[in-house]
Amino acid sequence: MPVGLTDIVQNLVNGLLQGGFLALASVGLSLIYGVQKILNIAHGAFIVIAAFVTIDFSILLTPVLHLDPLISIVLDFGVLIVFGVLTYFGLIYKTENKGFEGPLLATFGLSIFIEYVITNGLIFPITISPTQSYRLVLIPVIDPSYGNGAIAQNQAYSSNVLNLGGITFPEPQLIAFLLAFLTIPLLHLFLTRTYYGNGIRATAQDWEAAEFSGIDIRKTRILSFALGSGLAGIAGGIYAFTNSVFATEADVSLLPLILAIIILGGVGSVIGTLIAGLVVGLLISGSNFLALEVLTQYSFPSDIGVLLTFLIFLIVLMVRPSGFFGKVVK
Amino acid sequence: MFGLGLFKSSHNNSAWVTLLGLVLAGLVPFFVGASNQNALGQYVIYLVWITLAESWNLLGGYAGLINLGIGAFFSMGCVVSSVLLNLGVSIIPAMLVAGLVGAILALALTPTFRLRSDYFAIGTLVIPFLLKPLVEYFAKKSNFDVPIGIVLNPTLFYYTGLGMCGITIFGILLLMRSRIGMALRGIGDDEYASSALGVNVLMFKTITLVVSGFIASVAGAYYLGIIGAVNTTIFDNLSFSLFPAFMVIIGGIGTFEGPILGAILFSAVSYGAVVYFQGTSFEVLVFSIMIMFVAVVLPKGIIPTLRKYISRRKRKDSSDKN
Repeated sequence: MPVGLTDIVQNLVNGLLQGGFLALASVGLSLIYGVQKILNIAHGAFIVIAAFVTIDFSILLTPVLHLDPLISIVLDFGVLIVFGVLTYFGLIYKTENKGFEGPLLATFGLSIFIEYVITNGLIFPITISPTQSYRLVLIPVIDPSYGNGAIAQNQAYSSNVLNLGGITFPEPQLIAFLLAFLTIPLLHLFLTRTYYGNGIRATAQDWEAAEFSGIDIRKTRILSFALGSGLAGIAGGIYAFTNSVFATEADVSLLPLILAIIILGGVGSVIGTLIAGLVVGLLISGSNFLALEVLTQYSFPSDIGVLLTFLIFLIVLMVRPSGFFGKVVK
Repeated sequence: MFGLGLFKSSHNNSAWVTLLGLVLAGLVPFFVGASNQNALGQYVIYLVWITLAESWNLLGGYAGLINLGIGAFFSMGCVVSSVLLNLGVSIIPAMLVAGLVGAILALALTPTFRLRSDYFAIGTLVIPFLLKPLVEYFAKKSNFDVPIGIVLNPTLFYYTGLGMCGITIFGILLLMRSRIGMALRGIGDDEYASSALGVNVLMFKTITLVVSGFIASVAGAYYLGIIGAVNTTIFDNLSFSLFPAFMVIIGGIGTFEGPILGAILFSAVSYGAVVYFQGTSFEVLVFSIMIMFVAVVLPKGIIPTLRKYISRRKRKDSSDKN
């Protein structure tokens, strides 16, 4: 298939846009892992929660209040911060000092729990007598499609496409990209220019030294977990626009790619995560393009982009585990 | 207590109980009756998970290497087994050859030992995703099945599984009793101290990974016999990588009974509860709450917490006598 310059540029653009979203999804976990060395397996689940909050917002509130669904992204941020704090106190606080496995297991259970509640709600049937039974609804079903399939989010945005010189920029992906470039530098400023931000970075580097310097470690950990969750919320909010969301994605499927991005960018640096996200996005779409459209004679497998990414990830992990921009750790 | 010199240390009671359990399980086909042998098929999946959990415990529990990529070996075992079955090899040799392939794969993965513990966990997590395209490329197909002509005798299949499970459990027990086991425990406790004492850490880690990979691949080969056909998407399924780890963590990392208990508990809730809560997926809720509960309340796992409780009771009793 003959390949033109337009195709190549289009492919690069797609890769960059996708990379922006990946960076947004990863930066929250980078923060959490950097400070507390906890792998929040439920991070993907958090993203999906936010996606469904946005979907419900646009189904329930937009027709009534005529508010743009993009505003729900702010709501997502807030909801996930609350959720992050709850998770921290519920699961992490007790387990984080007892080794690596405790939070891992707990967040894994949480991700399964979240997937279930999104699809089915937290509803208990109570049978009082053979003829009377009630249902105790603690949390209503969030997924409007009841797990039967995805809802293509908000048609008004998904069909908008910006066209510049023959290259198409799908509007939702563009918004995701711009959001990444808005939030991540803001986060970077927060981490470097504010007291609490510096506290987070200090705790990430050496928590004992930070404690001796007078930083409240517990508050810092809560803050970083909440902030990381909130960022997952933002990613989830825009995810609802760029993809059809399945509740079953609340499990761990997004996690390996996010982990690769975090490590490649360097655990201590959010700008690094942004760049790593963009690079990975480019790598995946570029190598898929090369393998499937240009070099078709070799019949490469279909997910060669992911293969290359993980291969590079492993090599970087072994050679320079602090990533491209992280602080070198002994 | 029952130390006949065969099982020499503190694991005595558990080892005998397990042996008894296996013997009883071996007698089940006789009680079920000749016409109901297919009912045995429900339980063989437990054997797979127990074997996988034991394999994970060897690396993660005793040697201290948290391997989150054991699904790679498992899936590889499925693939190899399918290829061999299609070539006319019978099931037990197929399982053994699959195990050998797993061992070779483990040898190929030894460079990852350079990684620090949490990076090792992350690094191993992505290994199944690396293997998937490679398998698809070299095998030129993505569906692997048990050939149609082959009918696996349910009773024989059941006993094969029991054998696989039993050999794994007691093989690992004997391994841990040997000098290799002592070295492994030392490495798990403190790698640098062991190295300073002259233990060849790299060699023992390699041995552990190879044995663990062998077992996991054999389990995968057996699994193909259970479900009949796999697609390469099994490499993408993180459950096979993560569940064995979680089973062992719940049961108790680094203990003898931990993997067995954890695997049985996990499987019972997953497979058994489905029957109880039919019509809804309520058992998923129970499952997730159970996991979170164990993680927060029993962070060391069930067995170590039980042991602490029992020894505290014993101490209390003996101090009461004074």
